[in-house]
Amino acid sequence: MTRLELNSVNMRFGPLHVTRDVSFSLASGERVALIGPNGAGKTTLVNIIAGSLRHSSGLVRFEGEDVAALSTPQRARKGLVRTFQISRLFLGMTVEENVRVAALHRHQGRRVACDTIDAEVHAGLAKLQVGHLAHKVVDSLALGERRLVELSLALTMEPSLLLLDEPAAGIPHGESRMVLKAVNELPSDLTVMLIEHDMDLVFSWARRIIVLSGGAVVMDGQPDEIARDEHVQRIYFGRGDA
Amino acid sequence: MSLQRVLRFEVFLVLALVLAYLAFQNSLAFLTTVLVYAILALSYSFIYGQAGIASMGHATLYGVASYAVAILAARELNDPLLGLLIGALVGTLTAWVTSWLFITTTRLTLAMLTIAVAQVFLEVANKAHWLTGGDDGFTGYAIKPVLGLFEFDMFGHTGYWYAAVVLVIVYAAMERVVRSDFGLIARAIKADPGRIESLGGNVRRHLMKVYCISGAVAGIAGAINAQTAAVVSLDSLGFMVSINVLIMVVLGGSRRLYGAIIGAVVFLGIQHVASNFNPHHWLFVVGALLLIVMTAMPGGLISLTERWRKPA
Repeated sequence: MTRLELNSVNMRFGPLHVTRDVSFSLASGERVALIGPNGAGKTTLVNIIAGSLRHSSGLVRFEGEDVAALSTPQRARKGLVRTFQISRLFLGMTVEENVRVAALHRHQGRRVACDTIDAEVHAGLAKLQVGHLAHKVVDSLALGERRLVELSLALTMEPSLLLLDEPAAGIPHGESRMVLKAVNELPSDLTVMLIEHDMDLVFSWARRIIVLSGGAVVMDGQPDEIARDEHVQRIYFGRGDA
Repeated sequence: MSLQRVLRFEVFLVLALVLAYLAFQNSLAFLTTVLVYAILALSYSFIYGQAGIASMGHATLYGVASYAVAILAARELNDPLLGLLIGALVGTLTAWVTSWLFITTTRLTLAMLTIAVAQVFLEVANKAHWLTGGDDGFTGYAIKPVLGLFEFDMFGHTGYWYAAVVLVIVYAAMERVVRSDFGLIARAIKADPGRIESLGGNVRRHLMKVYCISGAVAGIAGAINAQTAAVVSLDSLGFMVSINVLIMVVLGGSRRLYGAIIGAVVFLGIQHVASNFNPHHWLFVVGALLLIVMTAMPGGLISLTERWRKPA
């Protein structure tokens, strides 16, 4: 089943053409990495899909529905959830409270028994093994732990498509292993699109890689194809005269 | 732990109210003013400390409700408890109507818009002499005895206890709201509204609810003001009310609701004492205290109590 479909999506900021005719689709359970050099327009694309930017032209369908007119919160309620390049947690609140905020939002507008919420909070904490941090204020956590908490916020929403914007960025090497482990253990029916610069993570995790350069998709294929492709090596790894 | 702490403050509050009554029998009118401001500061701490709405026009909610209660009392709707209800409803309605203009704005925009709204209401009250009495103030109404039993007396005994009971009830009720999931989401919005949206939340709607609840409480404060002072003046809609309430909450500490009560007591206490010594320079004392508090303990006076608890 197709979760997400992009059809010649373009994004212009005035004269700046940031996203050019991007088309691809993601099936349920896919593990896709979006890579590309700095300024390739990766985060812009995530912003378009998540709804924080409105694309200039083209079609974005989520589970068969055109989502162009839907705001970020509306898309999130449909199961299209993202994380941020720099962890965004509710500072000054405990880990448990953070996860609780997410759990409460999963049941927007519906009256739900307090026990259900409590159970979901516990499940959300257990899923990523951050239960022992429950009563810590998030400000006091290590960067890697913050990432895990952010992931558990996203998972508590029970998304069907998860966009991870550089989950390993800025995290000390020792801690990036636990983030990698968490990303590897995401539920198998969940479609995940990951933006990442860490090539070890990308090639060990992804089953499909989309290469973006200058706002356009230059390559879309399996990791070994991508690794072999000379064009990709030239634009991405800076070899040759590019 | 949390329940114990709340109860502890409530017990402390009741004791303080009884002691203050016994100790200052000759200044009950002043003490009643302190209680009215404590309720108003609670309503401000709720929007500012919990949800991050740094309004500079909180007097609007208070003043409009004060006038509404007084004007309706002059038309025979003068039962005090009915007045509280009127105050709460008018406060809520005023909050709901005005919040459309500024509720999703922040910082300077929010400050400017809330000041502008407050000035509009002040000017309307000033010009509508036939309704509000303009700058003469609105007088000539009488309030019935509380529950038909306790008449408002000239020494302010009834007024004091009336305001005191309402303060305790309002504090307990608001503390429950703050501890609920509703309050949790308000604090999360204060921390990062954009993150709430990425979780599918409706920031605007939640903030409007928060503001309306604050409006109800500010309206109750306005009602008690109208009922116990027997006059409503333009001052109740003035900029100084908004600023004083802001200072009280910052001084006391905005992280916890009880900081608002402490702030109101300290601010008005200093004003009262210092202006007896020197009526021209009392503001200097308040300003100096505010500077000291804000540099030495940004969390307000309540961070003192938390500092005691930490090492223990």
